Amino acid sequence: MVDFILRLFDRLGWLLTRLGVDRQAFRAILEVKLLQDQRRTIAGIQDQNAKKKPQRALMMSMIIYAFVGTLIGLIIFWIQSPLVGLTFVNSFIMMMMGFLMVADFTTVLMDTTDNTVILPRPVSGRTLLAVRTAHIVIYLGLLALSLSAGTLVMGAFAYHPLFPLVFVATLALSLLLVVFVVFVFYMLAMRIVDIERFRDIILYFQIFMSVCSFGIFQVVLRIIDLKEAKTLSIDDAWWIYLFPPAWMAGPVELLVGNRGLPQFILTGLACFVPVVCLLFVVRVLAPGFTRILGGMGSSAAAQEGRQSRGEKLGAIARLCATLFTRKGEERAAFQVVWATVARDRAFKLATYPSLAMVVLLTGLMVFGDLKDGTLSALGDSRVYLLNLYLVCAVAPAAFGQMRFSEFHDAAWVFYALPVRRPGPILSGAFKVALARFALPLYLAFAIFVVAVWGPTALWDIALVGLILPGFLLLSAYSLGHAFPFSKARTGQQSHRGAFLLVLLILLAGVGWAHYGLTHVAYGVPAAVVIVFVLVVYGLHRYRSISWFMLETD
Amino acid sequence: MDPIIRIERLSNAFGKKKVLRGIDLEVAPGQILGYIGPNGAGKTTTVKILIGMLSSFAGKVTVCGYNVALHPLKVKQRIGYVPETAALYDTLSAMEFLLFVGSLHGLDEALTESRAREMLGLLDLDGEMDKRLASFSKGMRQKVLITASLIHNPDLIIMDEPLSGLDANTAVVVKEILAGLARQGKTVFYCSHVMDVVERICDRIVILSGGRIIADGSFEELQEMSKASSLERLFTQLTSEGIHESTAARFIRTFNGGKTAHG
Repeated sequence: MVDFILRLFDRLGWLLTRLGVDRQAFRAILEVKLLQDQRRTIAGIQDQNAKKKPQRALMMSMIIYAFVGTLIGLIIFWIQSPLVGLTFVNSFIMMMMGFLMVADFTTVLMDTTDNTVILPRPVSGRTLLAVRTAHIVIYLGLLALSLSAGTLVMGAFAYHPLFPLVFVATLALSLLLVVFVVFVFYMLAMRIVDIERFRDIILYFQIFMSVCSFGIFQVVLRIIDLKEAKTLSIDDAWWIYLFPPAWMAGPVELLVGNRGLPQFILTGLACFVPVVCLLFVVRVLAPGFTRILGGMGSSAAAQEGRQSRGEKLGAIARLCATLFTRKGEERAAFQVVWATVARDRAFKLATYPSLAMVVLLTGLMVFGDLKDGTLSALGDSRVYLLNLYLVCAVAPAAFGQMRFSEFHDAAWVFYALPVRRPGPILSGAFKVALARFALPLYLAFAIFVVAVWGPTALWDIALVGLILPGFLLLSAYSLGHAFPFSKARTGQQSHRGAFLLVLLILLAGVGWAHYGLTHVAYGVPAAVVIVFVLVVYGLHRYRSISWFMLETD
Repeated sequence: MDPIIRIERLSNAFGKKKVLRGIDLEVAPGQILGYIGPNGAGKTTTVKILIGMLSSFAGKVTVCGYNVALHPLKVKQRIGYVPETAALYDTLSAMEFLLFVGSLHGLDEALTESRAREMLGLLDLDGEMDKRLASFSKGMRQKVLITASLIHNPDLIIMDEPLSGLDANTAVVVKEILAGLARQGKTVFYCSHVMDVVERICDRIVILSGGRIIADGSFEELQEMSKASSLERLFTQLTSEGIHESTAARFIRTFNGGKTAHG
């Protein structure tokens, strides 16, 4: 696999040379990066020479993306105009790529962990940036391919036998465009603000971008009336020239024989804009890249730039700790994890976009249904159930990230201290996910729901409040147990998007089951009692997790 | 002969905190220079500037004849660097890592491999070179780092605590290697807190404190200046007020005087 990819890039050697990239260094770094990715997923030091296991996490995401992508792609059979249909499909694919790029691959781009390996060596900023880009594009490309696999096949029937070829080409162009738009923003921001502020800006940008990409797609979904869309034509709409997903539909239009002026303009835009972006990044922005990384990695810069105020846990943290945890290991872990998630930028980068997405989706579900009316009309429906369940996705999303850290080596303390069993420590982290991330949202929605639907909703809210830790328990067990901040983030943790999708689908299922219960007399109160017992028992079991149950690394 | 390092009026700051406050230093080829100072004196910052990893500084720094700010790649090509805390790619084997480093320097793979095989063998890593670095002990990792810093035969060798984790035998070998390289005209820039090593192997010692150079000369010259018997005593005289004994006693007394119940 690694060999194949490297040979693929060897083919592009002329391009790399033209861009001013040192080919030998490029190949060496890329090879090492891919080798590491491949080996990290093979467990254990002891079986170094064991056969390569498939990279399961990546495979799982690819399967899920292929499934979701096929569902989305079905629309091209319904909509007559390839321009409209493909604009729709492309906006979905580009949205997902944009989200993955900012949420998952920013860490790859801005990786400072190997500064001491790379930066003292004669590697130019351009070369390093090129390698990082290639590394990202490989994974992003795989995911984009799986997202569009269904469309590739279906398009061949719906449009033209040669459609897959053209579509793959436009896919590559979209990929370039997404990657480079994000780069341009980062590089410009790095030039304008100092490094300390830049880290914060990346965070806000990531949240903003993820919200935007999902937001736009949601809006498109809601605006397009499926009946109208069947025969809709957007050839003469002005905005298609500003909307990249529409550009990428241009070449396909040409393929099926719609050869008007708009189609040629779109095709032109699709071909040239990504290339211009590429040149701009490489020529103008890339040279200072290694210096920026050097500055970012310098711990002194990080400490001194921000006047470190005497850090102490706030009153809320201490209150939550006393309310939710038992004295001893559990409380200590709770406090440390609470403080770390508040301060560790890498954690925020990985988590907040997902959280923002959940909040946004929930908001859209509530207010999207306000089309024809008022809150009182809303009061008659039981839509709040689904909204409440979306909140349940927040805690697993945050908890799943708590095992990762740049400084995962620091987890030696857990092994050095007289810890009888890891359970209480894990449960400390578990409770931070609940108290810090889920609780505020849950309370906010609960208040909103009671305000709109009245006290009859209280039983439902109680049930959701119990499902919340129950669901987190389920995800904790399915993730495997690991000490907080004890694992390294790897280049291919891109299963997060897929993880979230599965979570949301599962939660929707639970939501519908709950909805079904509301039609049974005393169904909900009975469920409250049963789930309460299960959760208490589950938490007890979780707190007594032994050393043997820890995930080995 | 032209100096291999020339630092003129070097200063730098992180935010409001000044780390280096005007450093002037020239190092001739063939010298082993000991660069010492208390924690936070600015040693690591100086080193990062010398190797082109840090570009935000004022003043002019010339290394191997090149201005570091303008030609960092030219400088990096000719130096070897052992960082104090270094990351290694744990999933690679020692040999793979060195091959990687070699190709970043543009070395031929066969040449790197034969050099690496020989160097690692001499440092007693014969049987380990194809094992993953993750399974290496601190000392073995240090051997790999030292080999990685020398594999491209650099003119200037910058080392930050290179002996940490090495057993006494290997430490002797490494010290001999440095002395031998210096005799061939290579320069060694040696940062350390281990005073007796610096005293023995360095033919010139620079003491940094508070971002300034407060002493510069051979051990004998410094000794004459202050009448101290060892570099350690001289160092404490120059950089603190000789309160070490009472500090230690007070530290131990916290067990009795403190409020905690643990004895």
